[in-house]
Amino acid sequence: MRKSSLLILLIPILFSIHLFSYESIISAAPNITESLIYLGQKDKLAGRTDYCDFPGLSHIPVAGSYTSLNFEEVLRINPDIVIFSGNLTDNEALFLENQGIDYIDIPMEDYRTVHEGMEYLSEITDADRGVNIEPAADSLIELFNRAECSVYIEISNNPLMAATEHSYAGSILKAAGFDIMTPSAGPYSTVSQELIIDYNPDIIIVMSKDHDISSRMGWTHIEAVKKNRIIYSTDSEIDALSRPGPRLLEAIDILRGYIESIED
Amino acid sequence: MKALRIKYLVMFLLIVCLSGIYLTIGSQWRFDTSSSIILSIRLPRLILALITGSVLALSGAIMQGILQNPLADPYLLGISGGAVLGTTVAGILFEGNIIVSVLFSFMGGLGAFFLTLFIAGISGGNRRYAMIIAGILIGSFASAGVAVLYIVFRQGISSFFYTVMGSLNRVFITGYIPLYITVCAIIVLLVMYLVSRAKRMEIISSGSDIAETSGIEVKKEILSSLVITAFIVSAVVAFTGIIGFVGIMVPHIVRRFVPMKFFHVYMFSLLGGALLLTGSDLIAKSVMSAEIPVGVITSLLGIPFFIYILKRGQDVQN
Amino acid sequence: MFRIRDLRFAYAKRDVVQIETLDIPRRGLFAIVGPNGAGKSTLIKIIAGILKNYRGSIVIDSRELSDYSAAQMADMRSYVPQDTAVHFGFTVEQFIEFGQYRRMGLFTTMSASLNDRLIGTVKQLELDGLRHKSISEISGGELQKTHIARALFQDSGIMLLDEPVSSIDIHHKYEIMKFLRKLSKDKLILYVTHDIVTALNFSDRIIALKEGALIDIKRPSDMDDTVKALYGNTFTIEEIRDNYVIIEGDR
Repeated sequence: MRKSSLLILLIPILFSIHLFSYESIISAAPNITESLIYLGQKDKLAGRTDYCDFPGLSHIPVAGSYTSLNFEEVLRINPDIVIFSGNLTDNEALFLENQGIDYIDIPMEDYRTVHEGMEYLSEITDADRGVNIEPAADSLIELFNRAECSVYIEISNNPLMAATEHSYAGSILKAAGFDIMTPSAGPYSTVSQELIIDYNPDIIIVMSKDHDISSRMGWTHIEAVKKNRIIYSTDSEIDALSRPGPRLLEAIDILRGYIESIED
Repeated sequence: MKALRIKYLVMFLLIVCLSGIYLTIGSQWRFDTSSSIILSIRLPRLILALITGSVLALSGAIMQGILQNPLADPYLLGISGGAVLGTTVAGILFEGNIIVSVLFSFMGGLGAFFLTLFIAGISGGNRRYAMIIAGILIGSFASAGVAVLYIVFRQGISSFFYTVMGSLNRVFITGYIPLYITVCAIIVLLVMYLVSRAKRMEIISSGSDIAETSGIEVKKEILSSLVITAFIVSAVVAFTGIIGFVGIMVPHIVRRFVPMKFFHVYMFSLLGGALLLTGSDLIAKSVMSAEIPVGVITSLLGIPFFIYILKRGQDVQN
Repeated sequence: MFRIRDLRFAYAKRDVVQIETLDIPRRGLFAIVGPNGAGKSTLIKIIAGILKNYRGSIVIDSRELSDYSAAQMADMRSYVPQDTAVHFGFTVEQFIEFGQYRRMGLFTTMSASLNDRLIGTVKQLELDGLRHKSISEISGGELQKTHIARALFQDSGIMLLDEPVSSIDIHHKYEIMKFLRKLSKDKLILYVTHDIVTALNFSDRIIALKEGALIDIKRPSDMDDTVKALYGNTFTIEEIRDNYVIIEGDR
């Protein structure tokens, strides 16, 4: 599913790409920004989102947030291309088409699409640095202890939301042999407490603001709570685990660290 | 009188039956009776649903009487919106402290309510409609304020959505149980106080001069009832977010089946509100594996109902 | 005794009522008359305790009006407003019961003796057939009688009525006024009317107001000059078969 779906997304805009290399880029997502920096294309970065907090970017103008582009700022910057990562809306597409600005959406949510997406980024920016992530990632994932464990990844506590097996972190753990709580088909899903208790995860990874899951009413019966297999991510870990890109290996490492900390 | 007793009994049985279903039905309508889930997840949520529904419906009944406005509802008068703004501020300043959250909610709700009444007071034309328009304006203003806070403090968009559309899918903290019980007890006591004022409210609604000369201190009575109503609404909103239209639907249906004695109107509104919200939440939590905000369900039911009331109001005026 | 001294009531910085002295006994039928804007309704609302921010003194039974509590006031006087419209569909009986809400429990039950009195009041005003009808479905005259029944059921020594017969049919009007005259044998009944003929035929004394000031307090038979002062020199009072009528002479 991964390669074909990515290609389908790219086909409509492929023809305009490759005619020339892009010299001025607005990145509409923090993981795209990080990928461009990894590829040595920082100089081409003409605009970013307010979530792009990679050090040394403060001089680059903010052209919107992750959820919505600031059209005026885009026009002022007048880039060659705007690059999204799964967050392109119809409205933004329409605007950019009308303005004759190229755009592309490179979704990299599933970790297996990261390599491909970054290669693509490398191609359209004429980067000389190659991408060499997938083999390393796969061998790193091999290092997980393949316990038959179930995991619930919480990304919000009001409402309760889970990152599913289709999310970045979820897909990594899934590949490592874990069963990930997946209430619906998207990468993120609202979920009821009942469902979580019913699912009875062995491990809970908390990326929400809550710092004491075990005090919740009714949660004491959950396996993970009983055995205290709960991991609370730090802010920087949350960033690494929610930005599919060059920090993939770091993300895998963090997750592996989580699992190891539990097994001790 | 006998017919009335039967109606009370029927309402009571309906609530008991619905509660039974609520406790034993899980996601996607699966029958599921694991005791830990029933006791620690569904029971608290059921209690929240019963109290919230009762409070919203009762407050609608009271405000419709006092303000002589059949369209009055805590959501349509801006109280819920103001309360959510208060709760959001409290959440940012003092993470998750329930008492502070309820107090801020109350300040927000009461402030928004009096602002609505003030705007309705300075506007010309039809007071009833002006009041509702003012309430919707203040409510939207407060929601916009909430949105600003969510954006500035980087709370998730879905969190905003569930706050503004209302949800009973709330995580309860074991250590806070005495606090929850305290808040519940305060709400129940205040509800009892309000119900005990039913006869006074009835006379006030027949004309303030009549009430005043029958020995009722009208201004004091109205003010205390409105403030207490705003408080109990704010207290539940602090837990659930904005749930609209329960306060307009229930009292109007109740008045069709119950004699025009406010005591019975209040009592049946309490029971009917509990029934309506528990039923709505049963749908919200059971149709899909993902949660639907219960406010979505009450709005889907309530807006057609509101239009019906508007139309009937026209008939009465002619 | 009912004494008013130096009463002043201002609305929008204009004196609407200013009365130096006015003494009224505790029994009898009294009409307050005057042209539009004379301050009739304002005066009766002040006496009723609805308008509170007056200056001066109103003493009833040697106690200042402002010293009475709301409940004591309710025992002392009852009031029928000019606007008799009621927005909720209470039954006639339920509405009359409001007069004694102070003595009802939470479940709005009344004692047996109170209930007997209620039935008596309903009979007195010939509302028997309407007891369980909704107040929004009865005629204007019946509504007025329902209001009077409620005030009567309140069981107070003073009854204040604002335009009790202004917009109802003539047979109801006479029925109500005769009834009030009967009640006034052992109550003080004070009513406002803009209809001087009603006042002439149904009162022991007439209190005439003009521009907020007290002009006269007289028997109906002595009202000729007062009528001229109030309405103009062309008006005269005539007595025809024990009924007073007003004749306009400029024709």
